[in-house]
Amino acid sequence: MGAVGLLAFLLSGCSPVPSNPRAVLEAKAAAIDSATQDVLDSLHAAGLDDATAKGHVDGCQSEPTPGVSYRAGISAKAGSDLAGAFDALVEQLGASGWKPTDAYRDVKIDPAKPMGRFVRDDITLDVATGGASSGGVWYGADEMQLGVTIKDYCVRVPDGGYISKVEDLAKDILPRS
Amino acid sequence: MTTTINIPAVIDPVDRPEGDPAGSESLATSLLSGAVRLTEFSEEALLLAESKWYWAGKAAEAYGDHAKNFAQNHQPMGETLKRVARGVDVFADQLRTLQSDHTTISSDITSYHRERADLITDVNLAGEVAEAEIAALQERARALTNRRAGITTDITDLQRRVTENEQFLVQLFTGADTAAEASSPTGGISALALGAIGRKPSAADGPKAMNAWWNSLTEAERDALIAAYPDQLGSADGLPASARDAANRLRLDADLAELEMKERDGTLLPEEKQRLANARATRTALEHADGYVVPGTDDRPGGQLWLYDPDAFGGDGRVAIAVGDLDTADDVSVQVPGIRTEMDDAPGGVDEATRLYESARYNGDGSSVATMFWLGYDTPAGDLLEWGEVPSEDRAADGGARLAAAVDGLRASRAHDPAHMTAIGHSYGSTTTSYAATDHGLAVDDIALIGSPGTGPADHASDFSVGADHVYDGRNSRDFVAFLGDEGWVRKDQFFDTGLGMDPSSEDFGAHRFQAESPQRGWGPNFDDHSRYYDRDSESLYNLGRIVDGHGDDTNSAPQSYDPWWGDPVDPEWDRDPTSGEAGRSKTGLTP
Amino acid sequence: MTDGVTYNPVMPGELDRRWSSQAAQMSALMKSLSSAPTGGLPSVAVGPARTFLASWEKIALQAKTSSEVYADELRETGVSYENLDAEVARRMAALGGGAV
Repeated sequence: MGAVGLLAFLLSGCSPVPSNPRAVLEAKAAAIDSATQDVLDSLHAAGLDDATAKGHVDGCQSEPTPGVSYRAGISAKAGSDLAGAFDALVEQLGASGWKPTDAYRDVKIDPAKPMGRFVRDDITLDVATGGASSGGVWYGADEMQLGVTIKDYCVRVPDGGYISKVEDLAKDILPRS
Repeated sequence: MTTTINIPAVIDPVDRPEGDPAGSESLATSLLSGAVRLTEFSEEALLLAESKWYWAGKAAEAYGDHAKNFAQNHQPMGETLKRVARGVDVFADQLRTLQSDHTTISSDITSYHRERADLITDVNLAGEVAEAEIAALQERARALTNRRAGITTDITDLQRRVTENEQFLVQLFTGADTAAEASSPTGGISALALGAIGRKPSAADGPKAMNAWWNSLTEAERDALIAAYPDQLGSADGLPASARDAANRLRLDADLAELEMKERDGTLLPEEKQRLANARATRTALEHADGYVVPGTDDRPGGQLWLYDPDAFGGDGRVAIAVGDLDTADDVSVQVPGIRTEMDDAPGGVDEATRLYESARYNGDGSSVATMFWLGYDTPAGDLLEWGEVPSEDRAADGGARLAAAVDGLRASRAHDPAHMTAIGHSYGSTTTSYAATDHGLAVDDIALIGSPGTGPADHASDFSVGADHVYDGRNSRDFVAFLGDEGWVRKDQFFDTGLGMDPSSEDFGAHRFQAESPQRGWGPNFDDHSRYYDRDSESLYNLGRIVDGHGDDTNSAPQSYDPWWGDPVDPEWDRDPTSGEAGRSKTGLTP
Repeated sequence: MTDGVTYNPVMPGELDRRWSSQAAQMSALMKSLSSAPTGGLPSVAVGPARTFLASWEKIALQAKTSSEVYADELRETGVSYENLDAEVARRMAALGGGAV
């Protein structure tokens, strides 16, 4: 890589800050919320009705190119047959256009606690079962836990603590009534 | 034959410590805004006394003298009222603790009475029993007697502390309720505080001396000092984090009360605008830390304001906020940020600290954690982005000394119960960390460098205080800044004015490189990939979490970059498919 | 005025206005002190707190009155300032009940 190439990279720099970052984030949040509601419908169709969904706002990318992002998380009570619940859900997801991916191909998955990753348009859905531990405490042993994220999740923002301006976008996501 | 079993007496109920902490705090707030008003009044009175430009003559002089006297008399009053306000705040904080202790003691008494009743029942039912059973009953009675003694000690202790706290409060009021006391320069300062401050060592004596002084004080003296001298305690290295936090919160509240009132009145000076912005950013960041709950769990670690210095570096400010309890956590990390980070970026820094906390706890060994965003040095302004100029190493050298001193302070504050400590330096902050570890014996256990433009004075990981085996590096293959480090390609003085040292991901440097790629990475080197190291569900944050949790040996290794003699430097990570949110590699929290 | 005086005719209005504003500040302080919440304090501290607040209210009252007197005196140029203390005392006394 020569000196000229280096200069070219310098000029390409970083992605620009949109003129209204909040609006950009809101649009992504809307897409995620809608997909989350679809997933809640799929859970319902798979017989998993006891589910709660939340939208979270996170910071992403540090100074000097800070950003904000939005994601959703769902926890659904799945009883003792986690694998059965997982299979039932996968069927519903397939029916509503989600495609499985080969993520976790290198991960050793316990067949009693299956997990998988699915995509639809530019939304990614991660499904895990059986919970996990945090701080030595196990959470969600009888649950299915799902995460909804979007491609190009990080919205560039100006310096100066912009994240506090979009924290209110965090919410409880209710199923479509 | 009758045997007597001595059953200890009941314990009388204990009165709950009187007062309402929240109610007391609203008194404190009310007094604080009164203090601000009084200070503004006396400042304006001084200006009005100097009206010589308006008119001259005997009458003018007489007015001037009289008004100046008036102004000077009122000048200390604002400070006195402010001290009383702070004292009431300290009283409220302590009252909260005492009421919580009272609740604990009350439930101890309840369970003691239950056990006692059970024992009495068993004794009454005993009738003709064997020796062994008598012995067992006597043993229970003995144990109960010991328990009673323990609870009684707790009660006496609580009552003493309640009395001390109430006396402290009363004396705040009685010590500042005459005009003479109001206008005294030590108005509102309790005798306890005046006595104790005289023995305070200077910062130059080092954090161990400071810690020894603090340990020599009674609880009452400490509370009095925090109320009276928060400016002197908030940055005192060697003091426990809880004391610094209490002092700094008082200082922050006072700044906000004063400056927000001036803003409302339209009297905010230009040089005060930045201070107000810094104070507000601190408040926002601290609220975020205080309110943070790890998603999907009931883990709420709380925040600590470890450093608050809004005027430092010409307004850039210094601030450090921890997520978790620095005084008691098993694992403590200090995150050192890089270029362009200033005090008003504190909310973003704290958000990173929360994500690192989550990652360290996720599938961790259950040890308690505290992660601290530390902006304690003067970061360069970021000319790199605009002009391609690599900043000089001066600030990293100065910052390194400051970082080492801060860590020494943390160490000295809990010498009897040391934490496993990690320093994480990002970007220019990694050069700063390198200076601290090479030239100032940085007293942490593990060091991680991420997105590093160079390791300053260190040529090899073994130059660091922690030893080569405890040095870790994360480098995103598309991170533009990481290309600046020496590894046979860009050398100091070749293309830019100066380089910043060795690339720590290189074979030559010899650190443990961990996976830090991102599926979001660009085609070629860029600045966005310079900043993804703390992103949630990223490879880098996963590995940083393992290191902070004390399991650096469990990170996912990446092959080091190297520079073959026949061609350009090679980064083997360039071609690997990155992961995100993958269990055991890049999942950093529960999904919900 | 006597003895070689110079003055700016704008002066009295300016100083008067600012001293009046000072008086208003102290009025506001008096009000906040008189309504300061003592309900959260333990009973042993209530009496001392009330005494404290009353004293500071008096301090604020004196400051307010002095500010008003300054404002008045400056409004009428040609008054002797040696009389200021007497004027303040007179006004405080005129306020009656607990003013001194």
